[in-house]
Amino acid sequence: MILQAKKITLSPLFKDISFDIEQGQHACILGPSGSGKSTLLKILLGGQSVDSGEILIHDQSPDECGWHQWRGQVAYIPQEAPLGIGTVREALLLPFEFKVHKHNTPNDETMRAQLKALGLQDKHLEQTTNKLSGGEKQRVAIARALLLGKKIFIADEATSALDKDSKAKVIEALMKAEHTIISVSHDDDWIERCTQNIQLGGEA
Amino acid sequence: MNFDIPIERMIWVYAALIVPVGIFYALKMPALSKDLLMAVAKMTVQLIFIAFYLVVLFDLNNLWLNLAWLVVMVLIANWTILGRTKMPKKAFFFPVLIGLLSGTALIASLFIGLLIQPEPWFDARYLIPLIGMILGNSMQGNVIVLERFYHAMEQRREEYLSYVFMGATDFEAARPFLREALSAALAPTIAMIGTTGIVFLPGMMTGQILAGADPTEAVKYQIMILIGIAIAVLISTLLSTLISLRAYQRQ
Repeated sequence: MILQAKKITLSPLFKDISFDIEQGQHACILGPSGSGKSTLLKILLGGQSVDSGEILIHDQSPDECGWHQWRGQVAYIPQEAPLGIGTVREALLLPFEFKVHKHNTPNDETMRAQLKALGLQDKHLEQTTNKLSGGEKQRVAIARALLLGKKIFIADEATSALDKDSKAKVIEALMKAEHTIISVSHDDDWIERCTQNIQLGGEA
Repeated sequence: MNFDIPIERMIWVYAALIVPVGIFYALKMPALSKDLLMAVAKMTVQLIFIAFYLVVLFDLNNLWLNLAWLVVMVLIANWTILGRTKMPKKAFFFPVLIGLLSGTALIASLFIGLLIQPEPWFDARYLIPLIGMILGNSMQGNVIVLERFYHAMEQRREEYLSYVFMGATDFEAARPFLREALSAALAPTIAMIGTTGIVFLPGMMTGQILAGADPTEAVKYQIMILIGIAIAVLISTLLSTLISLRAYQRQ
């Protein structure tokens, strides 16, 4: 089991929420607004404490390995990823300044290849991030998460600003068999491609 | 060749204040008028006090009296920083104090111990204006850095958390904000260093030249001061931010 939640309770939002996500599953948290979809992602990242319950990655809880180590195992794609004020290259390299990711630092070639895989171009590497469109920014954030080389992804609305073509490329790059994903999304194309649903808010 | 200004002629510089007051009146900005006049009044009282105090200090030139005065200067600088940045006084007093003391002590020992080497080393004529200049600049730097940094940490909480969620340590997640704040504080100093001599003559050099010193002498002091200020500002702002950050993140 890659990612597990056991009887998470956070009053008044959750009572005994449990789920197992197996290797290669692409899960999407569903539920009406206000049902706590983003809060659940925050719990998985240690941004929200719970009343009771446990979360596990590879059978290990964050209490056992420490939050820092725990977060080092996942690639997080925030809804509005901070890209800084510099070039796309600087934005892509930002998390590699962190000790947990330093050893994975990619070279220009790898970064260009990743940008291309998401429908961006070589020249984007030198561009400043404030010149990018919303969809381009989102793809840079996703390229950055992919470059981390992790097998587990936590994605908050990863495709919200994308057109059909780029969305297809993003889904193809993220939803690989070796990737395990837990996500929140309002995008039907994304939800359709997910292999597992986690329903919140009582509706079955 | 030294033209002292007779005290009665000082009236003209105060009379010149009618110009800004008139402009503020025309622009319907009475608050700024009041602020300016209050600031000038405060400055006048402070400088008169300092003039007499310095005369006494220079005459006595006592080690302990000089050091006591330095302590007062540091505390006032600290107090001003905390007041202007509206930081919680209790939590920020010691971090800012350590920052100010470290930056100032380092540069002061460089100036006094290596460059000027006055006899005695605690000669008030050197120690007090030099440290005053370093402290004044460190004070401005600290106001900018602390304000910018903690404002960003509050306003851009989501961004900070994104870094944490990406695996950053507390310090690593704060580092982008620290960089922005430091460059905002140092950019003016660096720009000033680059344009000094062509665009403007700094106050100290102007003062020395007006008081009759040889320009080459004034230039040496100016180079020393500008480099020293840049280093002291960097050290004091960096330390006060780093030390206060630990307390801030613990709460």
